[in-house]
Amino acid sequence: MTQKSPSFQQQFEKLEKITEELEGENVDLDVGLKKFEEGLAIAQELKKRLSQVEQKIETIKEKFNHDNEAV
Amino acid sequence: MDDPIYSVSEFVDAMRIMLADMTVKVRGEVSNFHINQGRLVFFDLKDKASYVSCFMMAFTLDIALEEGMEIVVTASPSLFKKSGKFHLAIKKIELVGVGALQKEYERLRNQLEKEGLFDVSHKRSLPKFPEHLAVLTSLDSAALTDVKRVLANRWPLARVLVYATAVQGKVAIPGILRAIQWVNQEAEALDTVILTRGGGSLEDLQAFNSEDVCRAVFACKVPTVTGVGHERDETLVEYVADVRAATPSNAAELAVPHREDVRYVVDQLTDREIRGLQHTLYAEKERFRDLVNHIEQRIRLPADRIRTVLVNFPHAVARFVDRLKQITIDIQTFERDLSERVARKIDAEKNRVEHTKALLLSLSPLRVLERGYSVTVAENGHIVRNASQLSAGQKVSTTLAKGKFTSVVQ
Repeated sequence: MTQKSPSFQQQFEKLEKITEELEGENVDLDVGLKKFEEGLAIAQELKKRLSQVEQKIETIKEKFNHDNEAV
Repeated sequence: MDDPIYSVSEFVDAMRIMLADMTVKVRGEVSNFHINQGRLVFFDLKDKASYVSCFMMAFTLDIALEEGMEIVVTASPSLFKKSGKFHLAIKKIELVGVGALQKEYERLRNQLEKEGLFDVSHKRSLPKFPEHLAVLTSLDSAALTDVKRVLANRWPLARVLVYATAVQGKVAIPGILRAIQWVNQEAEALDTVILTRGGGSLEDLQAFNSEDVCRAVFACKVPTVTGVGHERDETLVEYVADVRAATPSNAAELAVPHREDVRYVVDQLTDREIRGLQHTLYAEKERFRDLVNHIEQRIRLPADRIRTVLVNFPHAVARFVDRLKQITIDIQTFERDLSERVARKIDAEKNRVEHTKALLLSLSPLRVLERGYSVTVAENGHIVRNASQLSAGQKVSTTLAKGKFTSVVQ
């Protein structure tokens, strides 16, 4: 799926990747701190989205077909 | 003209010939089914008001008929030659009603399975965090209510598009096909499809066992999860779908995660990141400490040695001085000893000399002289022992105990 902003899945996977990097062997402290900040920001965003309460539901009605089966 | 009079057998034959060209399809329920002598099949076909005998040879029977089965026979009316009894000579039997559906179900299942539509290799996994869901089902159904409830509870952040379509009976097929067509059109914008309906009879579920619907779901561009009826209901479309859920609610559960679970995982990831960073910090500190230790060691070792030397130096000096002193004393002692020994040696020698002198003296001829003897020496210095050696007028010297005199030999 191509979207303007990264999808939930993409963000989540990014977070996983950052976590693995920070758990890695040779982590440069400066790089690590930057990544950590990035990871924190992503986590915040994800949690914000998870806190959404109202689900958006749209209904698309089937058109009348020849058999006259309306829904 | 009088009516012709037939004999019985002529009549029976005539009727048989007359009826032989007729072919009819009759629908009824099987009753009194039995096979005589292993080859002759007899049963009655009945409805509410009447029944008619049916006959066929066993080898032409290709369906296992059972009491109460609803069938449509293709047959020729006839009379038995011997008894004249009216019956239907059966050419073909078709199952209708539930039986037919059952057969069709089995036929289609075998075929689709053979074609590989059920293969696990074709099944896609559902997106973990779908944001756009399509639900294909009928409006105002318990299935839709269940699905909406479960989705709202677990994953309200997803957008849900309900494509309303009939799901009951054979007539639902075109609608469902259109729904899947729509899904394929919108495939770019959809993450997961839920195809669902409540439980029902084989007739109710016909659309979900139809070949067209099964093939459409198999070819659907978006991962699909089906939830039809109850766990025990098994429709063929469920086996071609990517995921088969037991019920509509279960389908919704499989389609989306629970946001609390995801929230928990996100928190866990954050914790892991913090710990990872802490380890890095700790490792840095360790490295730094090791470096400091290393440097310290490189300085400390020589420093210690210098210090040790400095501490020990006065002692070394003192010891050296002591040794010098000791050597001096030793030398002095040695000198003293030496003098003493020399003195003693000299004394010893002196004594020896004295002793020897005494000895000499005692053995000295002078002692003999004191006894009155004398020593006479010739002019050449030789001691005269023999008087015949002397000649007259020779001068000789005679030594007495006291003094000496010279004389001339007469």
